[in-house]
Amino acid sequence: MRRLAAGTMALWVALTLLRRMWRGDVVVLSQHGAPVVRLLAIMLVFVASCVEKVRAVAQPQNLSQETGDKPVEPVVAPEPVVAVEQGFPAGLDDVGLQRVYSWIAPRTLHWHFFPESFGEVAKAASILDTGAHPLPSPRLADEAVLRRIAGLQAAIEAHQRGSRRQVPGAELLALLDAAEALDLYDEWFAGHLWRHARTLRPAPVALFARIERHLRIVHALALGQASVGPIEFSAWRSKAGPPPGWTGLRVPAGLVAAAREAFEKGADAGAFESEAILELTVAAGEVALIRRATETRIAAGASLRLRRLDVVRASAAAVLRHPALGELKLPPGAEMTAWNVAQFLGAAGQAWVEGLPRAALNNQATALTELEAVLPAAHGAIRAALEQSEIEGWDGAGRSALRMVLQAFDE
Amino acid sequence: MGLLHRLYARAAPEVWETETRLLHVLRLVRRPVAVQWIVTAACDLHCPHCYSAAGKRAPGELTTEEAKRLIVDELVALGKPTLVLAGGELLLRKDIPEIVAYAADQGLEWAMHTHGGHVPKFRSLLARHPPALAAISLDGEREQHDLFRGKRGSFDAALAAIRVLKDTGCREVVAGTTVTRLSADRVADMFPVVAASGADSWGLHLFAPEGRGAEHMALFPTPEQLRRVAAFARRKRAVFHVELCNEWGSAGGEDMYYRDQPFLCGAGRISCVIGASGEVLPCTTTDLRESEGNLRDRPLRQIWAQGFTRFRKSGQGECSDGKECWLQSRNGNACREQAFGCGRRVG
Repeated sequence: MRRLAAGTMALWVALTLLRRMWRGDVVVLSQHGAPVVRLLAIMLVFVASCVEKVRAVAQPQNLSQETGDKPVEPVVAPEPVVAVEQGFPAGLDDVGLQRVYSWIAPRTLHWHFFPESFGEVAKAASILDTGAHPLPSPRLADEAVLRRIAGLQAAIEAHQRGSRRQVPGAELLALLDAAEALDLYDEWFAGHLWRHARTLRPAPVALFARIERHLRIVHALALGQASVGPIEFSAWRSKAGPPPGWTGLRVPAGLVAAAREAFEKGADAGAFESEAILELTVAAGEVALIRRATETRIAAGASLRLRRLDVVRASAAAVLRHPALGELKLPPGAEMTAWNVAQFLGAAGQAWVEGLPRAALNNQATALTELEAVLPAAHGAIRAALEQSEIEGWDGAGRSALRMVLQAFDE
Repeated sequence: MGLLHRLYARAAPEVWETETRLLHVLRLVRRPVAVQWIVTAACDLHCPHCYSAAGKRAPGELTTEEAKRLIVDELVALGKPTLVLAGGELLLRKDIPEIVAYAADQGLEWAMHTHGGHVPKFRSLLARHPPALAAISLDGEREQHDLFRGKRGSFDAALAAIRVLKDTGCREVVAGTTVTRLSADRVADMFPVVAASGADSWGLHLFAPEGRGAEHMALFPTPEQLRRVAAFARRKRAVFHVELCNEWGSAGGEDMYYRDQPFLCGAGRISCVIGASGEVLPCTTTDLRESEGNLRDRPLRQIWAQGFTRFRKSGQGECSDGKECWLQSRNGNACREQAFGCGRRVG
């Protein structure tokens, strides 16, 4: 009897469809029909991706040929400088993430704890009034978590008390420890620590490595969200706000597993990997590039990318070259980071860099592009030009554009 | 199962394309998610980038009764998509409270795009029927905004509107900035203003040479500006809800850095625009050659079901390209490569 009913139903659906196709009618999909069609589409995509995978396995020869086409990086045996954990945090899980998001969203954390990070916003923003952004009471938190929250708060308060002095590396590491103990991974927070590390000498190799790992985890979590869904409710595409009764952020199931997968596939440090980079060639001598607490020797003739989380050390005198900046001379024992590149510039390079912000103030668009290409060497000159132009009373679009370019270095 | 979950959760582009093909074969169309109505062409500002060349009322604008019968009733029959009221300046129409109340009584959610200048006058309406979303235009800091909008005080009015909307219970207030050659280099300076305004999010629109905008083609940002603003938006998302709107097109696998969900052009697929005089258009173009019909001639249900076929076909073509904003590519401004071409490597 059931078979007969199912058969009749299928026949009816088929006949209706055929009739509509024959007549050329178009019908608006019903509310009940929509999920069925969506599910059908998902099944088709799923099957197609399975077929693709099977084909890929059946044709290993093609794959190896493709790999052969890619440029092969020279193999250099890395020498560890300081042992720093670089793996995905073993204890991180969806429940832990949900716990921290139930307490505080990172965006709220910034506004509450680090108003000085926002510079001019701090002056103008009523949003910084703690009444507008109250620190939420912990929910779903057990005693251990409460202790960790208290630990982070204490670390932040200690940091805030000393925000005007030179912050020791140990204090920054303590902040990072406290945040990570709470499963709090956040890009702006990591950037805040990096900005405070600008004056540390010698360059804080271990801290940079820790910040890089933190940023890679943040990036992996973003990639994970692209797979399993966003942490936040998104209102934008439906042109409507969050639904009534919505109370907080939700961590989608499987997020940490997806993030771990992305991390292991090589999720990088995000903007710290791609922006404010300086491409240099070793012209004479040899330097050591320290990245992720691993030291790589770069000999004369080879190139390197100086990122904001890297340190270049020269045990003996060395010369680096840049197509626009000219030669950068490193004396024996010199240590170069993105913060202090300018001090190694020659007179011509220095003059060129110092001239660019003035040209940008005069609305020369090419000067902005040139500055972007050498930001580690130019951020100081931009800051100086912005200060001077304020004294001189400049208020043009060029000044705004300079600030925007500088943010690509600072954030 | 994991893959199925991922696909369903994110409405992945490949699912969208497959679903589009399926629907086409089955001769079905999706129900609209949002329908925007250009309530009036009247506006008391004179912005150079205005896509609708707003100013005076358009001849033959829909009457109150027509709005109820031809739009609200039809939307109810179409499954209650969000009714987005825009303009011109919608709040210059005296019958807006009546239309909003009627729509709300029918169970429709509504949203609005406004310059904000008249919002405080409608406080009681907004308190009774708060919009699900309201977008307020902010085109710069005080001086730039007022200069661009052609009226002193419009910046302060926009900020006041944001406060009124939040006070009266609007669930999401979006500050909307149209990125032009003049404003692109100033968005970093705008950030404090937007963040302090009380808006929940910041939508960065991209200038489109439509309406009055077509007379100011030089306002289109340079490739360097596009790239710089896109990078800025990506960074700021760490601290504020910034979104690049659909005019920017898709960043492909990197969409996650710029928006909460992957780019999908909704024109004629999940949304459409009703012009002030009842023409049904795929999106916010003012070119009546793109009209699929007029509400006064045919019901919206019918136009939605039978029109927009060029947007619903699969395969390559101007309208079925799932990566470019249809409006930008129609105007010869395919810009996603410029904005996102220099994107970073994805891990």
